Amino acid sequence: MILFDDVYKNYPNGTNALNGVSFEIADGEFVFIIGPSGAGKSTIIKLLLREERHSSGKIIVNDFNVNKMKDRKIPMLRRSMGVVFQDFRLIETMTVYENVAFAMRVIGCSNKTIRRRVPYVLGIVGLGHKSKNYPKELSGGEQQRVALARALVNNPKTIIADEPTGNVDPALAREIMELLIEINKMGTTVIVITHDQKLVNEFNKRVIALRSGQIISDTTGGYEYNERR
Amino acid sequence: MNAGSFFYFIKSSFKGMYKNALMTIASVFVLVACMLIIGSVYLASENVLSFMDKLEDQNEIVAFIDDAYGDDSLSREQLCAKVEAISGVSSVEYVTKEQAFAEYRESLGANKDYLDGYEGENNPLRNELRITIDDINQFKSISETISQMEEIANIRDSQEIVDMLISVRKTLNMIGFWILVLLAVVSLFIISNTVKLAMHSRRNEINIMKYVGATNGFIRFPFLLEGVLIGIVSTIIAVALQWCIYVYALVPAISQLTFLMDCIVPFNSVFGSLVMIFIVIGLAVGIFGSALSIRKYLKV
Repeated sequence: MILFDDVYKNYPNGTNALNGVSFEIADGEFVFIIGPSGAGKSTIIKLLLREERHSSGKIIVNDFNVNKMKDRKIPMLRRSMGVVFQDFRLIETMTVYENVAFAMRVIGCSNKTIRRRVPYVLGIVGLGHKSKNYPKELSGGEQQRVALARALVNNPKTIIADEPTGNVDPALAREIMELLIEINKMGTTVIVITHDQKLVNEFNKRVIALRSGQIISDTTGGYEYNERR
Repeated sequence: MNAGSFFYFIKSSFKGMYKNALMTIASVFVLVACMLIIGSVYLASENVLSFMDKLEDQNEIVAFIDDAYGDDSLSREQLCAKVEAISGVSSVEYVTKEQAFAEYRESLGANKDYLDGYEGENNPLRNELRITIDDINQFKSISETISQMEEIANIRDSQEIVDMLISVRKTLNMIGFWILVLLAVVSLFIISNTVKLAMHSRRNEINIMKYVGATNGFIRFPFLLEGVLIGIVSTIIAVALQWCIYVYALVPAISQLTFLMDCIVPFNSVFGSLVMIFIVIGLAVGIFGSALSIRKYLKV
């Protein structure tokens, strides 16, 4: 479960990124968080990962009380989430296989577990045949799927996809969205952060709309973004 | 830590060094250079100290015994024991006037007939004690104590030479100490900078590790291991080079000064302490260098 309760985030430079944001995402949900740039979408990701601390309010992520947790628990918090970053953040000097195995290595999995799990996850994202390639040799869409495989490999409770359609063409965007829906069907909570309204309207899912650091709508189904509203 | 993680650490350290080969070579190069300078200063100072020791050993106090004092073996022993009891005295040798006369005559070489007629009853010399001391800094006080003893008529010492030796030793110690301090600071600075650059080139990797949920310890370990490996490699190279420099450059240079020949410290006798110094420098600089540099990149 993810809970934001009256969360404020003020940056030292005076920007008020979030102004009293409250929402709850139950386990197994599929949620879009939509909003124009500057609405506070990336701030939410940063707060979820405890990359930044919020100014006031309460945040609970997968049983971690983010306000009160100690710094040394941060890795455990992050292990409960798999994040697909907009810029993928793959390690250039490692092969596809190594990039995915790396995420398991980091949390101390045994070689045996890694050898069994990595090919399986690469199979899910349809990249089993490219495991020996380096990220540079792959297309944008393929790199994104490697990032997704890496996010999935440790079986996190929550997958967060940051602008999954931002850097790939529309056909690939649809493919990745379908993968995310498949993953959601297996029981993982999926949060998709995007500014792409068309994408949101293609799927009949819950949409949390942000604007200037506040939630302006939280409904299930399509969402009409209106500049005048 | 399971076996998989252990091999991962080893592998990623070696990989890191290989991928940043230029940086690694630069680190090793700088570290070896600093070690060699420190090592050469150390070896030079060891040799100077050995030379000083020798000079100091030769520097004895000669105390002439009052003729009124008994010359039987019992009083000889008593007198020697009395002088030996003074703290700082390392050895006392009783030399009869006959022995002293013979030595004096010998030292004249071809002119030894000058002393004809002064043998036996006519011997003008006195019985004497030849005293060596442990610590040259106590020379003055010991020689005063001895000269005040009633059995001793007068003494001969070389206070000026002693004073000079003391001041040379003090100066040398000070110069050696400051060179060491300076080089230690310089090498730490250069190495930590080099490691910082290496770290910078891998900041993406560190960043991603943090996002995937790696603990700080997990991220730090391969870098520390890398520092340790660089330290060990540098130590091995530096010891080998130091040996070459010592045997083929320093020793022949010192040997030019023939009077120093038998003071040269053999490499074997300083090998252990030299390796210790290098390992301490190598590990300390390697570990502190990487530990200091990585802190910045762990704050995500």
